[in-house]
Amino acid sequence: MIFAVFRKEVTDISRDRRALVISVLIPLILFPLSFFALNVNLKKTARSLEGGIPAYINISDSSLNAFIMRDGRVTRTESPDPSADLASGRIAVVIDEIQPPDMKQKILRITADNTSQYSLAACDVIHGIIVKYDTGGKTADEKTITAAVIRQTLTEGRKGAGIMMLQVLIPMLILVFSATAPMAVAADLFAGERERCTLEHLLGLPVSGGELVAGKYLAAMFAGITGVISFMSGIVLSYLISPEVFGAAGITISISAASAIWVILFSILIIMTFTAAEFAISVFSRSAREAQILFIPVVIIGMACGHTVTMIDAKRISLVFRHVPMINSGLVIKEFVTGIFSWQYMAVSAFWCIALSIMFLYSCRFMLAREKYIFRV
Amino acid sequence: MIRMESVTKKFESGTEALSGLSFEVSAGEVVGLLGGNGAGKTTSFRIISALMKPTSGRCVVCGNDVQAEKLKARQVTGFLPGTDPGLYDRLTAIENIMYYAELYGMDRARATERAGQLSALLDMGSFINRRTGAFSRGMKQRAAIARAFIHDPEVMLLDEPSTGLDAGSSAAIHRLISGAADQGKAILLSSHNVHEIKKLCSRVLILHRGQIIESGTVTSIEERHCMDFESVFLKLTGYTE
Repeated sequence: MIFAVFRKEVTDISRDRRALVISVLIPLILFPLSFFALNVNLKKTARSLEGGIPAYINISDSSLNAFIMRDGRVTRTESPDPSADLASGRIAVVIDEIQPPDMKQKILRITADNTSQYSLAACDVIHGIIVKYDTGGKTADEKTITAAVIRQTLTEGRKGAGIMMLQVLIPMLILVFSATAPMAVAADLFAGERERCTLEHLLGLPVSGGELVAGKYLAAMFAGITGVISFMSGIVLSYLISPEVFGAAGITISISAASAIWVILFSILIIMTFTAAEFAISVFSRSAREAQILFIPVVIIGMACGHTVTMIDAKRISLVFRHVPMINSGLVIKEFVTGIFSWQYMAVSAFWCIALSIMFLYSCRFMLAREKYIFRV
Repeated sequence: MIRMESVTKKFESGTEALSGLSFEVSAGEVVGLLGGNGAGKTTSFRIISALMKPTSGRCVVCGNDVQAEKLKARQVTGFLPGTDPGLYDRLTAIENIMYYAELYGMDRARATERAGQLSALLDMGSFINRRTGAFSRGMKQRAAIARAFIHDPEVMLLDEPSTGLDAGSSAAIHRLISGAADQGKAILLSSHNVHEIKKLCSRVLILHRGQIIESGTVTSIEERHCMDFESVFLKLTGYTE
């Protein structure tokens, strides 16, 4: 009996081409694509660590200077403001000397950005080069002490770790929650109305398709934003109750007001886009159930984008990722968390979110003006 | 008030639902549209309410071409589709009615007054402030009718308004239809209930495979065919020899 039921269900499922595409093909293609792009990015980063680490070098010991450059993995980069350039990711490390008041010799210092994985890796590479340096018989007064290199980080340690954590969590959660939060309401607003037979009544009223779509879209947006706020509040609450679960005990979680405002604004843009996409699906669907099935690719896209954004260093972003609208939006949010405001990419992200939303909403209006979609059976 | 001019409707599947359909419904008339399943009644209603586009021909409601002036035509039309009362279950009956009043652009005072009149006419006083989710079919249909005609339209389209209703609900709906006709509204009504048609309609159109195969008053049709109306209907639509 069990086998008979199982066989029937498998036959039934295998004949539903759309469900097959959604549940098998899309995850099968999307995640390998995401990993492929990440792998390309990782290889590029690894190649960069093999040669061409942009470093600001300001040391008086000319032989040490020459030794570092002879290694071939470091590219000297000039900078009027090394700290700012290190923070923005233009340079990976700052190598300079400090003169302690109680010592004759200078001590070498390597400063890395602890909110960037690339900068920390570059710091390791340069430290490895320096420890191989042979003082070549210089007197203690002449040489820079390399045996006790000071490695320091741009941001205070606990705060840097906090930013690292936020960089991973915030864009990923926003992308995933933005795709999932409006689902129930979006499915109900058109597909649900069709299922309950209220749509035909509504479309017979002297209300234009545009007005109807706009009114319902605002309601779905409201639900989406409320949902994302609830999700995020839940995460914050969980963190407050048990930071250890996040591996965050002893780290400082802080974000500037400007960053927080930009994160909120761009989150709204992302919610707007996902809601519009789900809205178009809802108009197309015959029932709320069908809409929920068709939402799966949207959720998978949100997850894949969130995963990709998580893996990318906010300060070493390949241009290829900027061309994928939702990934770029996630990256822009990731940059906000680290205090970077790339205006051109913010503009690109806003443009795509608005353009995609308009496109999806226009498709809703298009479908509502056609009986083929209104009376879809 | 309603004028269908040689309307043909062909679906993508190739099915011709209407074939050159022409008729008129004037002010104060209740015209009954009769036909078996698939005769084209629902398609006719959908074309008049501008939900469907005719393949050829045109439909005019109160001087407005329903395709060219969709919103104007809908403003003067009240449409009760036959599919389902289509109420919002989580809203009360009065909230359902007032929502439509707002979409028809009515001011609140006028809408409240009209809702009161309809509530009295359809005997909805005991349940108008209750959520519609738990309503019986008859209560739902009365609320749906009040909602569809809240704006006091010149043209009323009712697709099988009393199917599956008890005698009390049917009587309330019949009261509303007769009252509206007395006020000079043009009413197009489809029904499977021959007694309802005989009781309410001043004229009848029998539709078969998208064409009008008989029309006139019930009495004139009975006289022409020398049999009672129900038998004429069954004979013409191919249910009996």
